[in-house]
Amino acid sequence: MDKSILLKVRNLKKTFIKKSGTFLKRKKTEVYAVNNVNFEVKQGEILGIIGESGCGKTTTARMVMRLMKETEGEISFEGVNLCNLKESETNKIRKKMQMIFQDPYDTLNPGMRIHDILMEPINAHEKDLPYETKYRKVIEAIEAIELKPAEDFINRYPHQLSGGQRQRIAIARAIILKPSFIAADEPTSMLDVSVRAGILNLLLDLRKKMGLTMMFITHDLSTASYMCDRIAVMYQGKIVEIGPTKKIIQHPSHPYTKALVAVVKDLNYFIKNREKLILDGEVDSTKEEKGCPFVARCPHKEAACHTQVPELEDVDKGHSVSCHCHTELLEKTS
Amino acid sequence: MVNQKWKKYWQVLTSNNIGLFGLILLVIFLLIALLAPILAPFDPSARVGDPFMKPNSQFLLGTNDVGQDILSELLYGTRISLLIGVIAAFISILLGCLVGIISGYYGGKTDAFLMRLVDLVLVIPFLPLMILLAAFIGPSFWNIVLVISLISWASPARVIRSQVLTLKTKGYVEAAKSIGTNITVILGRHILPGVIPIALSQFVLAASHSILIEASLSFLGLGDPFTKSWGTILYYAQARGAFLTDAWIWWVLPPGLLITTLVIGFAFTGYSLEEILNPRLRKER
Repeated sequence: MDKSILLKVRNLKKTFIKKSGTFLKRKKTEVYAVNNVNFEVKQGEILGIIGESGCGKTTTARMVMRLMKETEGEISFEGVNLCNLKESETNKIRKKMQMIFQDPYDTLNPGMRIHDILMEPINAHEKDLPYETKYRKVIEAIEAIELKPAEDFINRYPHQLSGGQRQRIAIARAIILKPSFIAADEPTSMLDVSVRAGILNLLLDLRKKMGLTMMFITHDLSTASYMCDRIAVMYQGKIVEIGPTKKIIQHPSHPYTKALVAVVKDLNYFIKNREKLILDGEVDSTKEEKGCPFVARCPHKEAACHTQVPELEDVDKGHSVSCHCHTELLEKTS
Repeated sequence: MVNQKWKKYWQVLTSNNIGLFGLILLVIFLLIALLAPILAPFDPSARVGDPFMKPNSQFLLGTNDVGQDILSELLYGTRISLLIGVIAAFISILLGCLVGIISGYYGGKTDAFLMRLVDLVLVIPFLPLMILLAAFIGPSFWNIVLVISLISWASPARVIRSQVLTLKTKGYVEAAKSIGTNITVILGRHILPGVIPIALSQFVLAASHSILIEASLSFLGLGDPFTKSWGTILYYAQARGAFLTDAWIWWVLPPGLLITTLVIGFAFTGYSLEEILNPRLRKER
């Protein structure tokens, strides 16, 4: 089984230091952006990471992509621990792992033509190839993302493309080196709903053709359930529930997941159980770790929730949740 | 799109009266500098008349203390003033870009160190220091250039740093990093193009400063004695008592006016360039 695991994240932590107070009474508080995250991505699967804004999903992706240094933890990709690599070695690994960013209006340099934008990854890793080969790769990549005819697009500037087309170009840039792993950071959240499905289907299509493994970050449960084989739900820097998409959607065990699912699934159920489901209260990631991170907003809290930090426990094969009361909750709903 | 962008810049520049005026002034001075041998009636270093002659039909601005034609001196002086201004500005912008980009991109301790250095250079009372430097390393064309550049790289560096700070948070810079592009390529392809327009406007403003500084140094007698700039002419006028006699009208006033006009030319062009780069300053027309 270990052989098929492409990416493995162990005890990943990221803290930011918040300075406050005046010169003499300076206080440094640690803010947890990502707190003890563990997950694995198997060869060929799409792992969804969902959660609200600021829950640490993008930070996790940025650490995996080595755009940010982790505070603690271990990330291994194809058996290589990425955390101890030097900059030059990291750059070599980057050939195999690419990222698709959220904002297609921001990630393409407005002063560069599509040709130059797509040449950039090739020049970074396969500079010595003859120009004809490089050019053919660029054309192939544009064709792979279904912008036809490719020659029409090659000399355009990003501002001559629509949002959907730009995101396709960003995808082309990510797949042009034929990587084995792609992290997609909310690739459809800035796009019109009408274009979204096209981009999602393109990603699924590419995955089938190229055998891509993906980490798909989103805040939208319906997108995640469409795309992903497994889903990890993050809350305040922690994974609160992880499991196969079907199980997460049909039998959500954590109260936070339940709330998310309820909103998407059935508006009537949401209206009826409003009190139980509504997520209230302040989010404060600076306070010390004491009890469940969700306790302030949880409708089912018990005494233990305030004092003990819940660990991820298996509820089913491949489905784990970190909640003290999940067994009772399961009984209640079924 | 790049061509369109420059066309648009050109439109803003020329639709702005002040900018157009500045640009025309600069072109005129450039022509004077280039055509000095044709325009000047005499060799500026030859004794062509009696000393201290008043303006007449032969010597339009009279002659100086050794009988050289002041008009010819002024025309040739344009070359020196312009050249020193432009070269010094170019060097200081180059230095400013380097420091600004390194400081802005790398951040952290490098940034802190370089910016404190900039602070230091900015708060030094520059005229006394320059006099000291110029006197210490001796008066020559390149020494003057060096002294001016050493003083004036700091404020462009700060402006460019702030531009780099905004550029480096752009998605495409981050994307380039995640692709694995190495740092020199990132700086060259993604950061530098965004910095160039700002550097250009800073260059024009720096040139106007450099010309003023050169004039002040030369006026104090610290200029190159073998290549007479406008400042040097003023120095001799002052040394020979022209300020106290009627001679100030043709010996002191013309170089003074020329310096002022050239500086205004650069400053106006610079301001309208800034307007191009900072669309919020643009007036609705």
